[in-house]
Amino acid sequence: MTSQTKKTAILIGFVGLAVLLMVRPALAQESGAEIWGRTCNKCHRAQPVNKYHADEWRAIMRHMALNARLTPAEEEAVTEFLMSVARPVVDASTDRSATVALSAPNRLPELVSADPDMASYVIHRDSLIGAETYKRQCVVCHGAEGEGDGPAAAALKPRPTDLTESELVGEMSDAELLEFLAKGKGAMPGFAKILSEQELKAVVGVMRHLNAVE
Amino acid sequence: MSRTLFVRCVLIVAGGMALVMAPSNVHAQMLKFSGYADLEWTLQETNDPEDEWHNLFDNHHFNLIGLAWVTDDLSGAIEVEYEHAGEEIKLEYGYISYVGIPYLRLVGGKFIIPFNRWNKDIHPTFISKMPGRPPVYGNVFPSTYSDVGIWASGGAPVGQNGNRVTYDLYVVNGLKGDPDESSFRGLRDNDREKPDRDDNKAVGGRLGFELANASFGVSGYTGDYAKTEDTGVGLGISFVGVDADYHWQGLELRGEFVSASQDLTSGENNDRSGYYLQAAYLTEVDFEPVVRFTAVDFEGQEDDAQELGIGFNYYLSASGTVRVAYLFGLEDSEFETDNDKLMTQFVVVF
Repeated sequence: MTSQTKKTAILIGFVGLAVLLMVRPALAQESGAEIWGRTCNKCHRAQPVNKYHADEWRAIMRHMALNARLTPAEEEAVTEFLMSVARPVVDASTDRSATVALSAPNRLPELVSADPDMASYVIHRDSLIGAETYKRQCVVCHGAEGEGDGPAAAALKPRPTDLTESELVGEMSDAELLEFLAKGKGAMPGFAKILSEQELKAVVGVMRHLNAVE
Repeated sequence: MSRTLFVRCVLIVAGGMALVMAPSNVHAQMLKFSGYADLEWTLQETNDPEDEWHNLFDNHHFNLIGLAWVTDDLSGAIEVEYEHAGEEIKLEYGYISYVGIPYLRLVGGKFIIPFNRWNKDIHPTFISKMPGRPPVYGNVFPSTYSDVGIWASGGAPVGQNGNRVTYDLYVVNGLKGDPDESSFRGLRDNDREKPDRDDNKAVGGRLGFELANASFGVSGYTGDYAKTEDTGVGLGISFVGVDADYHWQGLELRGEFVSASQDLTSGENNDRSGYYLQAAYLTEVDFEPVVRFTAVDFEGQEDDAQELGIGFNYYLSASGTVRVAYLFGLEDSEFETDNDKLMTQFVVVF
C-alpha cells in the first residue's frame, strides 16, 4: 500500500470524524410521510405505499433504513406511516378501519384548546388542523397547492391527483370524500389508522378549498 | 460455480421459502420475501467481418431477497444472486444487523461495499437508469463488490431543512488475487476456497452529505490484495471516489469519479481512473430519456475507453420497466475495436 494512499485514507477518516463531532444531532422533525417522500425516490421510484402489508413494510423498512442511513427516530416515523397506510390484511368487505377511525379520539387537542371565542374557534380549529394534517400527510404527494406535484410525485405511478382540477373531488359529497380518505382506493392509501375523524374531516375541508381555487 | 456452493444456495432459498410459507411464529418475526428479475436482448458489434453483429438473450438477473425483522434491534437480510440464467449463483449479501445504538447501525456478515453510490445503492437493474454498468465500474472499481466483515453506518439530521450527514466505516477481508492480475473484477472472488492470502484486512468508508434535492460523498478503500513471494511484502490496492447527484421533480443528474492504484511486483503502480455523468428526465407519461457518458483512463496506456449511451425507459407500472439504450464505444484511433451495442431490458421488481 502506498504512503500516498494511507495518507488519503487517514485524511478521509479524520475529516469524517470531525464533521460527525460538529454535528448537532436533531430529532426527526419531519413526519414519516415527509421523510419517505424526501428519501426513497433519491435512489429508486417509490413503490406504492399500499403495495405491501404492514408487516412486510416493517421488514422492508429495516433494510431500507440501513441503505438510507436513517436514524432510529426517522426509521420509526417512516415505518409507522407506511404500516398505517399499508394494504389491509383483512378482506375489504369486512374492513372496519373507517369505522374505527371515525370513533378515534382527537389527537390534536393542544391546537384548539386555547381559543375562548367559540365562533372563531370552530373555523380556526378546522383550518388549523386541516392545514397541519395536509402538510404532514398529503403535501409529499399532492403538493403544497394541491396540484399533484409534491416532492415524491415524480417517482409515483400513477401520479397523484391534481386536487385543484379534479372533477371527482367536486362531484363527491363530504361523506364520500371522508370514506375515500379513510379507506383509500387504487394507489391512494387509506388514512383511517393514522388520522382521527376530526383530522380526516379537516382534510376534506382543505380538499374543498383547493378544488375551489381558480 | 462449485457444486457445494450451489447446494448451499438452494438450501438457503428453500429454507427462506419454507419460513415464508410457515404460519404463525414466522409472521411474528416479520419476514418478507422479495427480489427482482430482468430479461435482456443485446445486439453487439464485433470485429469479425463475416459476422459484424451478435445478438443474445440473457436472463441476466433473477435475484431473490429475504428480509427479516427479528426484534426492535435485530434484523437480517439475504440476496441470492442468480445470474445469466443460472450460470452464476452466489450470495450478493447475507448479513445480520443491530440497531440498538442511536446514530449507529452495526452489520456483520457479507455486505455490499458502500463505495460511492453505484456499487451498493444503484447498480440493481430495477434502479439503474440505463442497461449495462458504466465502464468505470468494471475497469476501475470492481463492481459489484461485496465482502465479509463488519460495517458501521449511520446518519444524522443537520438543521431543520432535511439536510443530513451520513457515514460508513467497514473492515473486510479485502480484495485478493495474483499479483499483476490485470482485471480488478477478478480480485473479488475471496470466499473460503481462496483464503485471505495477504492476512491483512481492508478498511474503507464513505462520508456523505444530503441536502433537500442533492447529495454528495467521498469514499475510500485501502488494503493489501497479495504479498510478494520472495520478501512477503504486502501489495496494496486502493480506491478513492467522489459521487454527487441532484434531483428536481422528474430530473435526475448523477456523476461519480473513481481513482485506483494497485502495487505491482515490479515496484511500479498500476494507476487508473474514470468517471461517468448521467442525466435522466422522467416525464408525466412515464417516459424517461437518459444520456450517460463514461470515460476510463488507464494511465500510461493507449487503450483508454469512452462510452456514450443514449436511451430511454418506459415504466409499465411502479414494478415493471422497459429500458432501451444504444451504447457507442468511442474508440481511440490506435484501439480499433468496434464495440457499439444496442441493449434492451425488461425489469420487474417484486
